[in-house]
Amino acid sequence: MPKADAHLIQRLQQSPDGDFHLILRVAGDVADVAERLRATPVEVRHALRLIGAVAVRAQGKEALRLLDEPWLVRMEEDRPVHALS
Amino acid sequence: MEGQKISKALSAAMLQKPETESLPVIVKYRREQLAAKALVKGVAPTYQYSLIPAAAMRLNREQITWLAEQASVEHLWLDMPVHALLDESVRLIQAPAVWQAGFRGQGMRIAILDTGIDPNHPDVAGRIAATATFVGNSYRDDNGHGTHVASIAAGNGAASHGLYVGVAPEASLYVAKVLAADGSGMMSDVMAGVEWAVEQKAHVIGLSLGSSGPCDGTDALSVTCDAAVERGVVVCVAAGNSGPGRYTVGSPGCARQVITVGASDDQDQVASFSSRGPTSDGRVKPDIVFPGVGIVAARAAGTAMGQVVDEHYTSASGTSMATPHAVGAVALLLQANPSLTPREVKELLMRTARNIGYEANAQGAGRGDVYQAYLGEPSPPPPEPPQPPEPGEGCFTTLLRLLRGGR
Repeated sequence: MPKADAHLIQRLQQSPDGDFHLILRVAGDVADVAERLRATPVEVRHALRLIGAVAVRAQGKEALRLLDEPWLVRMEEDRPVHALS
Repeated sequence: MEGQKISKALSAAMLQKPETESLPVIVKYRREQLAAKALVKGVAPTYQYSLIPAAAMRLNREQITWLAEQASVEHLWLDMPVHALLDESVRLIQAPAVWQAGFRGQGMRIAILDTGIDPNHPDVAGRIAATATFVGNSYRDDNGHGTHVASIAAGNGAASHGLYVGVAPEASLYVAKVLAADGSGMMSDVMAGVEWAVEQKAHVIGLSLGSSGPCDGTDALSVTCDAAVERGVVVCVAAGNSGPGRYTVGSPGCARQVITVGASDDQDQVASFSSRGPTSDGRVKPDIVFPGVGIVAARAAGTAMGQVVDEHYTSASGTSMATPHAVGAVALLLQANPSLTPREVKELLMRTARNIGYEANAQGAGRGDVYQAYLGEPSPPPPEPPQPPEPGEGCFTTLLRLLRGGR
């Protein structure tokens, strides 16, 4: 199973310097992964232990690099949600 | 004399509208002059009443003034929107019957993840046990949505002398701000809020928010909500306001284990805006509907969300307003029977819901009834199928309809 859908990968490739809000589902210890990411240009927004995920903001080229990380299980876009009234 | 015939609300509306713009008006004629009643040329009544000599119609300022001068006209009112007051919607789902049994939410922890809360609103003041902020710098409600939602679940009606009481008025509130002043946020902020609520040992989480589009329940937010359920927390989620088309339930409403809540009105009709299933992987959603049309509940200070009623209350519609009815219902059920698992709570609410005659992907199991769920008994069948709304609906016309014996 691919780590990200083709549409997202295409957008990352088209905007290597663009900002993307992403949710990374990770294998192993979330805190460890978050710590490792903080040493890179990637901005860690939340370390989410309940499902083993890290919410980040990253440039397209950084996100593409993350796809090669062995601890990355799945990458998806962090989408907006709205109040429903 | 003519001025006295025109109600204050209609006079005020006439001043606010351009001269040529029409307003919805109820015209009452003098019974003794019915034969000679004044009619406005080219204006057909939208409804003619039989119980009293009156008709509903749309009139501009000049036409209203002319009618007020006619001897056959007794009074003119503004036909105003009907609000399903919180006291009505809470009664509809039979929460007061559960209160009578001694369960008002005492000791229950309700987490509301939304735009924050007004901690000084009399309906919730002193019952906010913990707060967290995942957007901005403060948990204070700068939109109004979160306070409205929280008071539907657990407001005590203090500012209305006990009129607008929420479903579980003695529950404790755990409030996380995950949506900004414009009512928007990111999925990951909501996920962080869900984690916080689980850490706070919330009994039930209310999420009156969502993303657009169909989904299959595998996105990170939906999976997080399901994970919270697996930790023993009931999660109630708004279905969305993208109805009446199919496949309009967004994330996290498409999560498998949450209770996905659609909206109905005080006539037990599913709101047209209420999102419909199925999910993109073919599952039935919503799971249940609760009242969510024109709900009057707490207004956060300095905000104007919805249709403002007065200093302390405002009216709003949406599956956002239906969801906290479910949240409060869950709190009452868990207080009455703390051993229930989230799966059992969901099954109980769905099994005892009132079938209101819509297909499963519109109403789920039906309209929730917390007293029937408390009793564990299925709701009786509805007395009659839903009827289409009559033209010229408003508070006055609704009163007349009720007097005629209609539902």
